[in-house]
Formats: sequence, C-alpha cells, structure tokens
Amino acid sequence: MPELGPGIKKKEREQLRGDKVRPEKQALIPEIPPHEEEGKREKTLAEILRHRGTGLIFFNSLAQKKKAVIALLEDLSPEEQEALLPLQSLTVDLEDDLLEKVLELQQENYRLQALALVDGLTGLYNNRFFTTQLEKEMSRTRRTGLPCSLLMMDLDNFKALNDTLGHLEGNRFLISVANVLRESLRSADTICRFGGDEFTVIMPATNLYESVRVADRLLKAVQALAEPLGLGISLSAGVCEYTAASPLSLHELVHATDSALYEAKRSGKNQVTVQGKVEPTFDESGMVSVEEKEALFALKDHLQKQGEEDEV
Amino acid sequence: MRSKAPVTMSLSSGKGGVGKTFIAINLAACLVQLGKKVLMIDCDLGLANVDIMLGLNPTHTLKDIAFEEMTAREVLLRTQGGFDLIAASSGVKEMGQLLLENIDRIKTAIQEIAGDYDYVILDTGAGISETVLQFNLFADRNIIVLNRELTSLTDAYATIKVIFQMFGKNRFDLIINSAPHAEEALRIFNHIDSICRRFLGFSLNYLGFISHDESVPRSIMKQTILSLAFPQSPPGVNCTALARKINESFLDRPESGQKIQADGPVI
Repeated sequence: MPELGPGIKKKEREQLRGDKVRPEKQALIPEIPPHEEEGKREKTLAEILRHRGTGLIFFNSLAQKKKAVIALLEDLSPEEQEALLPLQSLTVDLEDDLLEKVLELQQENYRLQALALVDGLTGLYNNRFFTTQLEKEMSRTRRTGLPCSLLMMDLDNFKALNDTLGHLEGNRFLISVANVLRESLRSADTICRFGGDEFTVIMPATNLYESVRVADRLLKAVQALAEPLGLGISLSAGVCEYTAASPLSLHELVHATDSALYEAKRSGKNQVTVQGKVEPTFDESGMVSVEEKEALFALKDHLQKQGEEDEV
Repeated sequence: MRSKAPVTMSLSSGKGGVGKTFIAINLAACLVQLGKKVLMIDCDLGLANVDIMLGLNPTHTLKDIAFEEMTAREVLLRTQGGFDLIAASSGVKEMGQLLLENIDRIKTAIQEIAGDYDYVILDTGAGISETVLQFNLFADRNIIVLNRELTSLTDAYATIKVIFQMFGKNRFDLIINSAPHAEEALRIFNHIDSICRRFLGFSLNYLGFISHDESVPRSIMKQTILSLAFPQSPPGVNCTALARKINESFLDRPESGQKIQADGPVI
C-alpha cells in the first residue's frame, strides 16, 4: 500500500484505503495547514490519525514513554472525540520516535555483538573476531596484491607471575600488555587476545620484513614492561606473511605462524621467528621506469652480436 | 698502529652471480700486495660465500656481532690473501634481512677496529634489500659490479637509482666483470653512464674491468685467490690495475660528486 501523503486529495485517499471513516468523523480531523517545508515539520496528532485512518492508533510520545494511547476512532462517541481534540495540540513525531527506538535497539545489538567479539579482560578483539578479520584481510590481499602479515605472540614465563603474585596481578599485567600492543601498533592493525597469554596481530599491507621489525619493537616494549617484576617475563613471536601468490589457506597460515611462534619458544624465547622467506623491501623491477628500461636495453643488440662472435 | 680512518667501500651488484665476491676477494688481496692493511666483511647474510671461496670454516661470524654482541676482534679471521675477514653465516633464513639496530651494532663493531686498516671492503648481498642499502649508506665509496647480461645492467642501474634516491649519494664507481676486452667493458660503462646522466643527472666513475677468462672459475674451484695464484693471467692483471686505481683515487676522498676524470671514458 502506498504511503498516503498529505498532498493526496481527500477523495483519492478514501479510495485508496477503502475508507470506512464516517463523514462526520472525518470532519473531526482538521485539514492540515499548509507548510513550507514538508517532511521537516512535526506531525500533529490529527495528521497521524489521518495517516493511519481508522483502527488502532498506537503511539508512544517522547514525553510520556511507556504510556500508550490507544484510540479506536470508530468506537468513540462524538463527545469523546470532542474531548480528544485538545490532544491535537500535543505534537508527536511518531515516525521519528519509532526510528529512535529502532536505532536504540540497533545500538544495543551492536554492543552485544561487540561484546561477543571483544575479550572481556583486555578489551582486545577475541578469537572469533580474529578469524573473521583474517579472512577479510586475506581476500583484500588477493584483491589488491598488497601482502598482509600475521603475528602470533606468547608471553614467556607468565605462569611465574600468576604463581608468585596471584592471578589478579597476572590479569593486570595482561591488561598492561594489551595497552602496550595498542600503543605500539597502527589503528589499521587488528590486535586480538587469542586466549590465555597469547596475542595475535593482523597487519594489512605489511610485508614480512616490516612485520619482523614491528614484532621486534613489541618484544622490546614488553621486556621493558616486565623488567621491574624481575620474573623473566618476555615475549616470543612468530611471523608469517600472506601474499596474493600464497597458496596458504586461512587455517594453514595460522598454523604456519603458530609453528614459527613455537620455534621462537623452543629456541630460547624472547625472540622473533619468521616462517617463509624474507623478501627484499625494494622491488627492483618496479624501480626502473619503462623509459629507463628501454634505454638500458638499447645495448641488447650489440651484446647479442658480441655473444655470437664469442661463440665462433 | 694507524689512527687515520680507513676508506670503507661497498661492493654491490643488484643481481646475484655477477662475480661481486670474486672481485672483492681479489681486490682485497691486491691491495694487500700494495702494502695496505685490508679488512673484508662478508655482508651477504643470506648466502655467505667469502669463507667458502677462501676455504675457511669460521666458528664465529657477523651474526655473533649482530646478535650476540661479540666484538669484531673476536670474530676476525686471517686469510691466505693477507687480509682480515669477518665472515657471514650462511643458511640462516632470518639473517637475510637485519633489523636496523643489528646493522648499527655491526657498524659500531667495524668502527672499533677500523683504525687498524687502510681499507674496509663490504661485500654486500644480492638484491636491493634494506640491509644492502644500509651498508651502502655506511660506506665512503660505493662500487657497483656488473657484467654483460641485460639483467645485470638493469639491476645495477636500479641499485644506483635507489641509493641515489634514498640517500642522495651520487658517487658510484663501476667495475665491469667478464668483459671480452677493454673496449667492450668501456662500451657497457658508457651506456649505463649515459642513462644515469640522462635520467638521474649525474655521471659514474669507471674503475675498470675484469677479463672474461677461464682462470676465474678454475681459481674459484680450487678455493685460491686468482690474483695471487695466477698474477699474470688477464684477470690477475686487471685486478692489480683495479687495486692501483682504487689506491690512487680513493685515498683522496673528494668532497662532493665526482667529475669524469681525465683518464675516464670517452663519451
């Protein structure tokens, strides 16, 4: 059913909704005063009633939340309708009100959704969000050709803290580590608490070389944080790069990074281990322009000729 | 004991397999022959091969300086060529790239013993990695080695361009390897020089060439230094000439970008 705007003529309106409103009752509803800015003005009760026609009118004004006014026009006597008239002055914006309610619910929904994706202790993203985000970044890499990097980290000797200072202090330390990670990384990076004392970072548009440097910086920051505790707490990290040409699946990428982390742990902790080949930062092929290449290759004919002479 | 700072020179090529390490070793040996004290550092951490070429089996390497904070003296090796060597570790995957602070540690370690030498030769790795660039930044003179292959020409040019654009360095010394004769080497040099002048706005310095000769692979197989084992062979003669030229021109250490020298190439 099409929306019935005030611009539609009365008769058309009646036709459209198969109006059952009795003529005398219709008269009750005054004509809408012409307004210069249609749509922007607040609607009067009368307007709303006109909009909805007869039947159940449900509204919840901003001023009287939870107080619903139900008007069943057809069942009202002329006197009752008379009595209702003052209500017309009460302007309510039903649609805006509904919209507000919807937005409120939506916000609440987001909050709950966020709660389901955020780690309660540290405020970092959780494992569930990690998987979704990694999936996104991997497909972004395939689309844009820019590599992304995955970093998995684990605190060394964290158990010692829990054992000596208690779990409350342990939790406090985890929060500090989370803050250090947040401060040391870019806003584009996704930082997750993978569980326990394990953290992961997804770095978009970051190659292996750059991510190793980032990991190294994080190691230093955590070391500085843990130093005063004197419990030998440090950070071990495994790094893996995902490129558009990479055959790795999400699961394999996580597994490869995890193996790198395991290797870092196994070979003495407080270090970064990479999985895969660290490529040079600069791509020579991209450095030389077409014109430069053409000029360089102008030597080709001569060299080939020379090569033939050598073989003779 | 010397106290004057040595001339530090880097050897780069962009492309691998151009003969950079061969030239570095022979230059070092020839400079020793000229009565100079030389330290050579194998900076090719991805694929160290100076020690292999010299038949050495080092226990400590550049890795120990970069990561274990050992001093340069603790890892120094004396070679058959009479020069000292700091070897690199091969086959350590994560060593291909060093973090800036590891490079800084290496630089500091070199500076600590640099006073003992007239020349420090840095044999950088293949490619244009940040490690290679950092060693090029560190060196007083940047030698670029190339051969007749087009890929070598392109990579040499790319190396020059990146170093120029990143650090503003515009003084490069070129050595052409495996050239059939002097004219051909000069032709290759003139070609890349003209492209540098056209696109980058500066000219290159021609150091010399090494003749294409079968004594080169033979000496490598025997793990001997060609310029010592076959000093009269064409490459042996070329190496000596190169060392002389370096010894004459590098010690002056001119202040700014070089002009093409009188005995330089005819353009």
